[in-house]
Amino acid sequence: MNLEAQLKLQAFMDGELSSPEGREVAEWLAQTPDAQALAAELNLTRTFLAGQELERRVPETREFYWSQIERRLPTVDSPAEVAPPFISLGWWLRWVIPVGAATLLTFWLVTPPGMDRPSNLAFLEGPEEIDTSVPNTSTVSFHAASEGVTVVWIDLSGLN
Amino acid sequence: MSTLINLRWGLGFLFGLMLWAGQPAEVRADEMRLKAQLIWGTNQDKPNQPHLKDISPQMREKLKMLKWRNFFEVNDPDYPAKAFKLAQSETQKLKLSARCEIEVTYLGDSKIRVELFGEGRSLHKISQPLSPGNLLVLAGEDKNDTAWFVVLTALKP
Repeated sequence: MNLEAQLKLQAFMDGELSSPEGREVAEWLAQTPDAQALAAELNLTRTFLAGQELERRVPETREFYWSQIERRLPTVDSPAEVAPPFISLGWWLRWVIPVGAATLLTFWLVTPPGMDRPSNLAFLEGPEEIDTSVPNTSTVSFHAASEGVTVVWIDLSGLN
Repeated sequence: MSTLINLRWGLGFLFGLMLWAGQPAEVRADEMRLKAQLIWGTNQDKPNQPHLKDISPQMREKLKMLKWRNFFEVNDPDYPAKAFKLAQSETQKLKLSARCEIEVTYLGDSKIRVELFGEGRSLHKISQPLSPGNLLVLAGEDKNDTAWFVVLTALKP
């Protein structure tokens, strides 16, 4: 299943598709076992996550709110009137790429293979290898990077 | 021009050295400190059971993303929560309750492998890095819309 199909299925599960498109997805879902498995996993995740996204309200009408933002956007006149940035993109590329590449190269060269890498790279944490030893069980994993928590939900209902 | 190029590469080399040298000594430790707890989640008030203890506010904060309102540590004196240390490649098996055990192996480089056993049967195995202060939670459904959580916390060295 490609990424676009997965995103469409998520939108369908969240009720975000229009009626014609929703009907199309529902028909495709009924005929596609892979999609049904993904839909079941999304449902299971929803059952143990708390709440939905909080609705944020502002005390103004939609039109007034957006007109305030529009008013604050800088107007762009003819290109000749826009002053060139003090530090151009080209300048950044000429410095950042060689300096960054040299930094990384040095870092990996002075840390021999087999020695511990710094723990600051562990922000990439997430399950690397999962093995459910028991048939008729399923798992759903999610990693909340900001909280530093990985949760693996093990569904043992299939064992009964 | 060549001077400028040398300057850029030289700066990069310097940053790389500073980055490498700036690592605290303890991140290169060949051992890991962990704590294993069995926690129970429910939307009911705390039942009158002596073995249930309130969890810490820090743990409460970590688990707030889950749907249960209350979490209690199962504090059975026969199977207390354990803080333990593992050297690289060392494995420990810990019994968290009469029916629940975990086997933890430190693979090095902040990476652990955890195998969960329920009533003596292997239910799940997972390997992942775990930095100090972070949690790995293996969870499942219990009766009456409650849930059990095996929580492994990586302690600071």
